[in-house]
Amino acid sequence: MDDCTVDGGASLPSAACTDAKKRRVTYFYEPTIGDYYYGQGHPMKPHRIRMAHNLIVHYALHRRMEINRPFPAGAGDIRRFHSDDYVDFLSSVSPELCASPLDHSQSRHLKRFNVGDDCPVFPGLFSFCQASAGGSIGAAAKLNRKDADIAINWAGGLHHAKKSEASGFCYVNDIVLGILELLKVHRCSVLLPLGYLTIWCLELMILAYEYLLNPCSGLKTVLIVYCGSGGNSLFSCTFIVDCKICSMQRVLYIDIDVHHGDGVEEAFYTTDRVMTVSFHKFGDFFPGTGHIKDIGAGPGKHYSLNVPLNDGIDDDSFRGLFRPIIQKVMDVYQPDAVVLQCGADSLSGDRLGCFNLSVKGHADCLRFLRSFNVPLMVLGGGGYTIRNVARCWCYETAVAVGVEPDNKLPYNEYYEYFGPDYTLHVEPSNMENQNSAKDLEKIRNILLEQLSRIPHVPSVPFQITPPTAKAPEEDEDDKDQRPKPRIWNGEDYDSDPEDHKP
Amino acid sequence: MAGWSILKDGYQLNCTENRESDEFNNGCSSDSDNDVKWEDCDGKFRCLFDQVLMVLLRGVYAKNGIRPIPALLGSGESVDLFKLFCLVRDRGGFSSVSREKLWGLVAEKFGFDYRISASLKLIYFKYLDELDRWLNRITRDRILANGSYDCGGNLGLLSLELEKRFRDFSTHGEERVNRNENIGYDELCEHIDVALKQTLHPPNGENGGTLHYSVVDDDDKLCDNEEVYSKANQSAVNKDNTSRKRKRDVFAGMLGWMIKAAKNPCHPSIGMIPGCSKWKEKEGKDFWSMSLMVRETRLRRRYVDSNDEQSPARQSLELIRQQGKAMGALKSAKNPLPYIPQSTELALNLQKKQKMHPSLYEDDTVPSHRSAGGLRSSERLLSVVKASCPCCKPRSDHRNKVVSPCRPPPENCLKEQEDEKLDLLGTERTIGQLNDDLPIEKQVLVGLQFQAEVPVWTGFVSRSDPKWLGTQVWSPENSCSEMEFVGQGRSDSCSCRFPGSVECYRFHIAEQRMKLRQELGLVFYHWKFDRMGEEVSLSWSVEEEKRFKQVVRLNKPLLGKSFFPRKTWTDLVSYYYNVFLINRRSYQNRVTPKGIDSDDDEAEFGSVSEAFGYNAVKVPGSEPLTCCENKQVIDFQES
Repeated sequence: MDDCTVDGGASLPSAACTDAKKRRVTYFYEPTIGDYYYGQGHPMKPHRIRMAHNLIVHYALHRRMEINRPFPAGAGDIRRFHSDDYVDFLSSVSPELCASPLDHSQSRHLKRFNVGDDCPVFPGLFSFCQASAGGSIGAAAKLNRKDADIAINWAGGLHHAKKSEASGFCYVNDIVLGILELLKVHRCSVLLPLGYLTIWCLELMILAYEYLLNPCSGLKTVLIVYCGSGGNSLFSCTFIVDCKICSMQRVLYIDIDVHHGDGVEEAFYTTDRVMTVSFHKFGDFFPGTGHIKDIGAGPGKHYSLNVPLNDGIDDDSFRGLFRPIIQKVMDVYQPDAVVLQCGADSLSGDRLGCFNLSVKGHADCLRFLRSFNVPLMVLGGGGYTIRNVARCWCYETAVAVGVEPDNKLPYNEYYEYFGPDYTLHVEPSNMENQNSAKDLEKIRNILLEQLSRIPHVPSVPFQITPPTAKAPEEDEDDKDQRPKPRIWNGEDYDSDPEDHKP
Repeated sequence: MAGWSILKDGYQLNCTENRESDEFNNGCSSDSDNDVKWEDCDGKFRCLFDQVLMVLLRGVYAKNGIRPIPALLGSGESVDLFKLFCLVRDRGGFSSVSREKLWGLVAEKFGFDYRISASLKLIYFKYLDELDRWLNRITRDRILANGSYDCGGNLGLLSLELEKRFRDFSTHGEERVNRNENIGYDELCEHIDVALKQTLHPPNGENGGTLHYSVVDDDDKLCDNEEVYSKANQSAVNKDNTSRKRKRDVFAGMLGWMIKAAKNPCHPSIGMIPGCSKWKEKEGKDFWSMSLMVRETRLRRRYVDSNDEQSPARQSLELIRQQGKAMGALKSAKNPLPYIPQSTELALNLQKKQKMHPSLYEDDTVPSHRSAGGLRSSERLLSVVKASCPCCKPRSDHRNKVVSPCRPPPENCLKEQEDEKLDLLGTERTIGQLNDDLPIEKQVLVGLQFQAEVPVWTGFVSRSDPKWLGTQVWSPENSCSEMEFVGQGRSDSCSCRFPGSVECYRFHIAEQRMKLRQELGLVFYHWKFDRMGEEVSLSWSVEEEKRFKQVVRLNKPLLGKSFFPRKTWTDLVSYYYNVFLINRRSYQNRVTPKGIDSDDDEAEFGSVSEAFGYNAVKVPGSEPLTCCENKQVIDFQES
């Protein structure tokens, strides 16, 4: 391996964009995360997050980062996405409760929420979810405040969890919660006194109008301090403009886990404020969704992208898809923030995965995204050969902070896990790449063509025109986009949600 | 009663005929409520209701998720939808029942507990609301103010009215059904027509309650056969009720078994299912082997010309029939193709959130990652066969083997080769078809209960609650010096006596820990570095460590806390990852470097040294260093 130590504080130059700017990186780590245990024989092992952290610290990467312990997300925060009864269930369930055989409603709930087989009830289940979600929401908050350029939470990325259902080792969808935090909007009630205020102070009124009419310019928050005392005294107002705070209008979600990011896709299937792009193994593989023709619905049509792949994809093939597609997505969609799910089960030799990516090939996705210099949230995800997961996430942390780490691992507590070669990188296997160049070409073309249907930069601010005001246009092309069963539902035909072009 | 089986988009709605009819009988005889005359109504009317509802369920509800038939309450009891419908309509429909808070009453009429009313309401809303609204619409449109359905318990009028509308539906439904959707609505409508005719002119003037036909099958190739069959079967019914029952029992029993197995794979009544390697030696006496054969037959029958007398489908059908005879169940064999509900072959594979009988997985015998992939891919069609079949090679043989492993009987040996070819052809077509025509892949569900509520962008922003930033443990300003060492690996120079030995590594790790603790200070403990690595074993006694090893070797659940009354589960997990696995890995690294695996909890293990506890962290030639470190760690924990 080439152990080129990269000079000082410069970020890694990438092929697409040779930027040399250092990134402010925040990393969330919950020290107890490694002690959660899904159960004997279960492939999901939170211990891998501890191993990754261990490696990161022994590589001294922490010197380039701010490291925070996440605030555990409460049930109320989790309800921002998940349904009430599901959250109630998660927060109350425990292995002891499940062990009592006569609790009928409990077993009904287990079935209903798909908790049991793949998603067992283990000790500390809910606090594990809280830590994972808290880290991702924290990462979002950090990006919202412009305190960091890159925020990392390796305990996050649990992309299969549905609104009211656990799935594929995931219970709480921290990604959706994190994205919702990024998308958070102002509650207008705080602004109401402004009108009142303007009577007294013309200057402030002008300022306020500037603010109201041009929300994109500064993305400010307004804090009004009321200091009035007595009947005839004027309101003395403090007008604080805090330019550091903003929230995101459009968020791009990219998923390079070997499994389809179905939970996140489903959560944002009908909105154009979040675009989801998932690269995954498709065909005879969990979770079964992620067909190339699933492109979103309603206003979110064309804002879901699926890249179905076959077994054994290698670095070059993957890069040959990832870079052009993401480049085009970035051009067309121009997101305010990017969320990257770095599921490490797409690495070569994963216990559940079937791809053949090296750590470098995997991290190339992050490297590429980093070069766009857009606020970036980096999350974990799958990954079931834990030594490789730790390698991968450690290396990706290094990429985030702009360091090329030595291939020879430093001595660390989990050193023996990385034997017998004790190196950071492992060679991919010689498994057959079942993705022919022709197939990949075809997929790329289909997706690029799909992307070209996106109107540049959707949901322009202050486009208040309700979409219902327009007569739905029949788009001939869209009909064969997705072989959706068209079903008679009484009087009117099921209106295929059309584009509401601005 | 109609035995339904609906297959759509890879999901299935399933109900067994015997179950339904049982319920029907029970319901009819046991309910002695005078107020409601629902039991007076004809079975034919009920049949109509079932069919129309089914069309609605298939069509309207398809996009909103699947409504399994029969509708089940949370407690597992099934609800007679027809009765529910009648009861609610008698009381003025859904809204009026809700308004007047009559759901409790409805539940009581059902003989259920008052508390079940919410579930009933939900079921009504999920299953029948659409029907309700549709009927209302039709009424508005067609029978202007003619039949007010709010007329109390006037069931006769209601029945007339419904019947009329249902008939309307069957004639006009066709036009309304969207042409793009060619999953057999036309056939369906034809079926309903047939059903209607038969209902209106019941053969032998018999009460519709015993009417018996199979109505739905979206496999158009089979439609004719099955219609013929069902008609023939029906005449058989009329002649001899018992023969019908027993004959149908063959499959009804099996279906019942399969449903039971799907619902509760571990139930003792399911019995043992041998490993799939033994499927070839099937006896045919058990439900499971029958279900396998039925599945095979269905898979073949679909694609092989059914007129070909020599086709494998015919052969295996013959086989099934013989076995049916052997079970003393199949009396008459008039029909070339006995009716086998569509869903059977897919019942094993397709049921959403299926729970396979544990022995069907058998993936612990397959060491490759493919099998584990099957664990998560279990919801995909055919993957179960693939994943659970150790005899299948992962990729290239896959297509050969998707057909269940049972072979033609010995007398067909001569044709075996030919059959295999056909098999291959058939399954390849299966796969092709699955990929192209039938949208087997799951659709993304759209609805309030699936999507996140994304706020509309207003341009205004809000401050993220600062609590989310968590507690800052480390900031880059903490480290002023040594910036050049970021990303540095180990140095190769080692003056140990045996470089590369366990002791050598332990020494260097301890060295590294020292340095790290100096740099991090208290953060070292905040990140729980003191609880990482083999030092965790310090809090374990030699006895406990031995017992731990034994427990793992016995493959007992690790958290079987009875073995370690003084340990918390966190202790056990921590010990497992920090001491036990490291020990196993150091053994693998030195003894079996080609077979390293830290992720298989059930793998065999050995250890280089038996040393645990203080011995594990004892480093030759560095006694003072380790000791002092250990002491500090312990000091800290105690303080």
